[in-house]
Amino acid sequence: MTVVSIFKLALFFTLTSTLVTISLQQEQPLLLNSAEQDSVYQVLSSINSATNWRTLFPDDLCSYPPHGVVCDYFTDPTTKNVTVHVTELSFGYVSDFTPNPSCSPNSTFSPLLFTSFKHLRKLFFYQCFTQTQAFVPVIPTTFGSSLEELVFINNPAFVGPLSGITGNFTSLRRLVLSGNGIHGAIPNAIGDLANIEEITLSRNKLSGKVSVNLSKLKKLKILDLSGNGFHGNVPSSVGNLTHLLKLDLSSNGFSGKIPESLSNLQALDFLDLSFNRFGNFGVPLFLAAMPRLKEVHLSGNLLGGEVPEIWGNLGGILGIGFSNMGLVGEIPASMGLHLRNLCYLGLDNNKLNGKVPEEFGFLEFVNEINLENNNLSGKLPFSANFTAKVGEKLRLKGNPELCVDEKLSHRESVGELKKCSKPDIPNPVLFIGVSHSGLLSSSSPFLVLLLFWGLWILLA
Amino acid sequence: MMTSVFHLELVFLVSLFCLGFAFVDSEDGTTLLEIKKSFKDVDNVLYDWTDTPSSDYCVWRGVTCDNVTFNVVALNLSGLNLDGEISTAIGKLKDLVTIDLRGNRLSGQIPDEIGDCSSLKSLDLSFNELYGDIPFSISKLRQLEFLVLKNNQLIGLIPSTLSQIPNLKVLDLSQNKLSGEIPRLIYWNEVLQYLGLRGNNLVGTLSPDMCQLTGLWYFDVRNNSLTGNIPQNIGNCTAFQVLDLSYNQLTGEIPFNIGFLQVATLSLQGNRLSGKIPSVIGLMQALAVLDLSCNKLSGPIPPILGNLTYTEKLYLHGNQLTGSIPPELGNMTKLHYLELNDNHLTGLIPPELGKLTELFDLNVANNHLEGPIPENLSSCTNLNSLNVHGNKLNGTIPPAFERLESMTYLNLSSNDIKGFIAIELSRIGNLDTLDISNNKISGSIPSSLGDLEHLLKLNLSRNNLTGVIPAEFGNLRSVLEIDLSNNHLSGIIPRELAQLQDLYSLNVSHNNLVGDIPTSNNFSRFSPDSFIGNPGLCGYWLSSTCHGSHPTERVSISKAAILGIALGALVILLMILIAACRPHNPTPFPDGSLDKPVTYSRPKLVILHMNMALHVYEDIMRVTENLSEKYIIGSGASSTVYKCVLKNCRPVAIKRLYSHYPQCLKEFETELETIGSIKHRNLVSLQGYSLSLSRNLLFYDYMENGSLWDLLHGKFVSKNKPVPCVRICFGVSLASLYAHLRILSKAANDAVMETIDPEITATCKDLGAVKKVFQLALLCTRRHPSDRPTMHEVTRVLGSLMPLEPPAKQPTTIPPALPSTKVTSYMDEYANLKTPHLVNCPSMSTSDAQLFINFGEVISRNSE
Repeated sequence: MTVVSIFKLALFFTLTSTLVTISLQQEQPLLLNSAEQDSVYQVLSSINSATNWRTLFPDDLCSYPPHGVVCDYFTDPTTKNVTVHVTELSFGYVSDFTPNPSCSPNSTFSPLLFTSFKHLRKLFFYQCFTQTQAFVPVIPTTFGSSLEELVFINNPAFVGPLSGITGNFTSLRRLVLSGNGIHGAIPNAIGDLANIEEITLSRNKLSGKVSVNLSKLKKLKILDLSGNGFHGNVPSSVGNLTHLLKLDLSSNGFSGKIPESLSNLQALDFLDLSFNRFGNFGVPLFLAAMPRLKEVHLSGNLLGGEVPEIWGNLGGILGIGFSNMGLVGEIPASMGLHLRNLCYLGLDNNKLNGKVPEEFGFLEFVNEINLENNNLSGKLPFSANFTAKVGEKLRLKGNPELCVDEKLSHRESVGELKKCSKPDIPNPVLFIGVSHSGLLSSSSPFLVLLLFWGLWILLA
Repeated sequence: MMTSVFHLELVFLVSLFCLGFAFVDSEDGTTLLEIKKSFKDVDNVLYDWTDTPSSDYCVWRGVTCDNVTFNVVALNLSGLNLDGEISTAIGKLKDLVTIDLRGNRLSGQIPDEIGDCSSLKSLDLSFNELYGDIPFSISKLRQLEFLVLKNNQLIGLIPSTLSQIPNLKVLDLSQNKLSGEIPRLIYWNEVLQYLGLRGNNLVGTLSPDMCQLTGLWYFDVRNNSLTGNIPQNIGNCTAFQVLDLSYNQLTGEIPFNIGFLQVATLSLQGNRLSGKIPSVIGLMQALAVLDLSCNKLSGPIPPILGNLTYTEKLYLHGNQLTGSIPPELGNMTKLHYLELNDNHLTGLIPPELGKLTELFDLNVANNHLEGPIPENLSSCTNLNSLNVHGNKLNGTIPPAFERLESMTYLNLSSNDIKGFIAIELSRIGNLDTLDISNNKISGSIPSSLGDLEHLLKLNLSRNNLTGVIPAEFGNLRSVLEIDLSNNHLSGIIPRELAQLQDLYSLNVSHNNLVGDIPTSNNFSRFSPDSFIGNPGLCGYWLSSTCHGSHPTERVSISKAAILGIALGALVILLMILIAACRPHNPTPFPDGSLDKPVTYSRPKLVILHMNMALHVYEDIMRVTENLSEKYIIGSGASSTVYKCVLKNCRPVAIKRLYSHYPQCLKEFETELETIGSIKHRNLVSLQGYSLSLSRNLLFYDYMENGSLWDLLHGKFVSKNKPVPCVRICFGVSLASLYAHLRILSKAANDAVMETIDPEITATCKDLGAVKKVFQLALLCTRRHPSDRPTMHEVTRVLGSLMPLEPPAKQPTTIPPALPSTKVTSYMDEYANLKTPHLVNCPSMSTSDAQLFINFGEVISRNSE
């Protein structure tokens, strides 16, 4: 009851205070001070000098701003004076609904951005620096304590070292530098951004080892370093980012072993480590302990080994990209058994042998299966319905020993496979003998164990 | 001066020749033929896609090439009735920037290979019959900005990998069969502007991450199966302009901080939301539409909602709201729709609602309201529909309602209204439904009700009416239903009722009517149920009271026999009664508590562009007072044009066609849609149309500067500076040609269209044809409408100019930026609610002017 009344009170208070502020503003509109107003004009003309911003927007830029300029009110705690300041600056036309000032091909980066706007919360550049190189200016140490979002997307001519842009931004929530010309290594200062939720540094020219300690970034949800030239080991401190939703380190030169600590990323949705140079340590078994995983992509790393039996708790997985990994052995039937939500499975360009598990044919959502260029053999176990459903997206070519049933051979997707030679009445003794010899020749105690385990499951 | 013009022309011609002979060999032609092979080209629209060596793929229909590399950069085959599938070969067209296959009948899957078109910016496969999943490979398209797959049969889940497309601005997957959850990572797409997921089978909850979309203005998950609460931080989604969470299974309360949103449309209807309506909604000044209907909301209507002075539509019906209707709602001066029906509201109908002069529809039916119907409502002069059914209202029918001249629907049924039927009601000339049944109204029926000549439904049943049925009811020419049952009416059934040809339901049962039921004019179509309970009424059916009325010849019947006959008759009567009443019970008469149960069909409004999307046919009719003469702004050879200024919307010009119902409506509609699909900067674009028996209306953007004739003849007064006449002529004539040719090309499949429009190409091989075309264009600009050629004549003349064989090799030149213009102006379901600060005014480029000089030269030379 008291909670409700307090709530009511609070509501009443906010309502009245809002009304009061509205009426206050109506009485004497607060204006942006002329120095700050002038800085906005200068920044605008550095972005696009062809437009005469002073004539287009001659009035107070907080009252009648171009899209992309946002102000807010600030109350001095001691004097109770209310002032108005620019808090957001966005440049580069995005759409008719975000018509930020459009940038000219020779736009430059004004140093005023880091000196004149003490209250800036968001700085946003979209497709702004495209031809003439713009350089990262020196950021004064006094700037940046209020900055929450720093976003540079597709500014290929925006160049400079990453260490130059990441200043003393203690409030930073979002660092998005994607598709720019930024180089250098990740500065250690990034490890101190305690409020950060997103770090996206994809498609730049970054390099070096990632040695920064990420342990403090407790709020981080998105870490995307893809499409750069990083090398060396992935720091095991990544494992401390317990709120991480997305980890994308693809298309770099990371090497060594994928750190075991990743198993701590219990909230992780999306893991992409593809196209790196991770060593021959096999598919990491810790994936089994990441139950929230929806997509896992490890393609293009020669991890080697077999596809492990780790799928029991991973029923939420939608997509698996394990192409070009040097995988050997058979495809575990348990994948088909457990991955009930699987949509996409890429196991192409490996050295997998044995049969295609029949269980895949019972996956309800599966729409794409790529098993091209392996050494799979035997008869394709799928029903006509299943092959019809997956259609062209069942890819099997490049498996010379794989054959398809007469009935299915007219399907375009499996048409390239040879037809199975009439199995007639198969000799059961012979069949058992063959399968035994196959087991023995692979001489893998693990497989034998597996077989027993499978039998046990069947019996139970 | 003369020589310089000549020079220019020479340069122009030379450049034409250069272009004409340039030929670069490329694989793309072969690929296109492969693509054609997998289409079933039912109408043979791709007939010019041939592999004859002379055929250059760059001029094939729908194909656009880069003017340097001659690689295919755009494939626009929308609305060509293509069947079949999308070929996997499409992946070989690596330079494709735009693929538009919208509005065909393509089936099959979206090929994985589409992920190989690495330059792709815009992919529109909407309105087809594609099935299967959204290919994972789409995430490889790092340049993709515009992904529209709506209205297909896509199944499976939304891949998280869509979040890997860094430039994705528009993602529209609505009206498919997608299942699973909305991937949380989609909310981290930095520049996403538009997220349309309406009409799928999505489950799961709304993630608080949705407010990470700092640029998103359109969020629509209507009609899925989402559960859980609305995220508590919803107020952080400050960029949203349209938030549509309607028709899901959302529960919990509406979060307090929703008040921080600056949305224009808030649609939460059809969920299971409970708790009170947060008062902060009253601070959402930008709201134009607030729909909280059909939830489980309780508590009072916050009086602060009266602050929403820009709101046009307020829907709170179908909840469990209590308390009274706040008088403050009378401050919502822009309100058009106020629907409070089916709640538990008590108290009076506040007289302050009379201040809502723009109100169009007021529905408070099925509440517990008391007191009289306020006389002040008669100041709502735009009121079209008033429904107070199912309350406890008393008092009388306010005679002042006669001022509600636009009213078409009046339902006062099932209340405690007393007094007489005010004679003034019969002055509401537009009424099509009048329902005052189930009240305590007494007195006689005013004969002037017969003046309501537009009436379709009249229900006066279950009252205490006396007197006779007015013979003037015979004037209700269009009436479909009349119910006068359960009153105390006396006298005969007037013969005039038999004149009512359209009347299909008549009920005069349970009165004191006498005499014969008319038999003329198929009056016998009404069943005996319509007449029972009138002891003195003689019918045409067996066992009616007066049919056994043979003159009593023999008096010598014993008393026992009389008793027996009487008993027998009673039994038979009882049986008839039972038989008559039984089928009546399971199908009670619809009492119009919800929507109007009017059975005639309203004209259909088809919206082609979305500038009008917020408006309905009724709105337009209301604003123009049913196309009143005072809104006429001009007339043409075939039509009259009206101007209509809609709220929140650019004004529209309404073109009313003189010719009535076209012979083949479907064909006409298709043609309209073709016109509607044309977007040209010099052409007024068709926004929508409405076809009906009574009138055919076309809706265009309203142009401030008057007609073309005005422009050409100096009537035009610009605020800034006069536009040079020649430029206008040139631009406009080309635009009209463009339109004509576009229509023509649908039938004739020729590339002349591209050769005429300077925006697409400046190549034109036959200057004689150009001259004729230009003269024709000038004819189109004559002073008198009757002097102008009709569309038919234009098409005929242009048809005669068409070369019979496909034009020779001509690499078309297209600025590569052109295909992307569509990308930036994607507005589909809702109108552009924002006034852009910088209006992008395209001005005529110098090359256009140059072209004009050339054309003008040629024409003057030839006409000498």
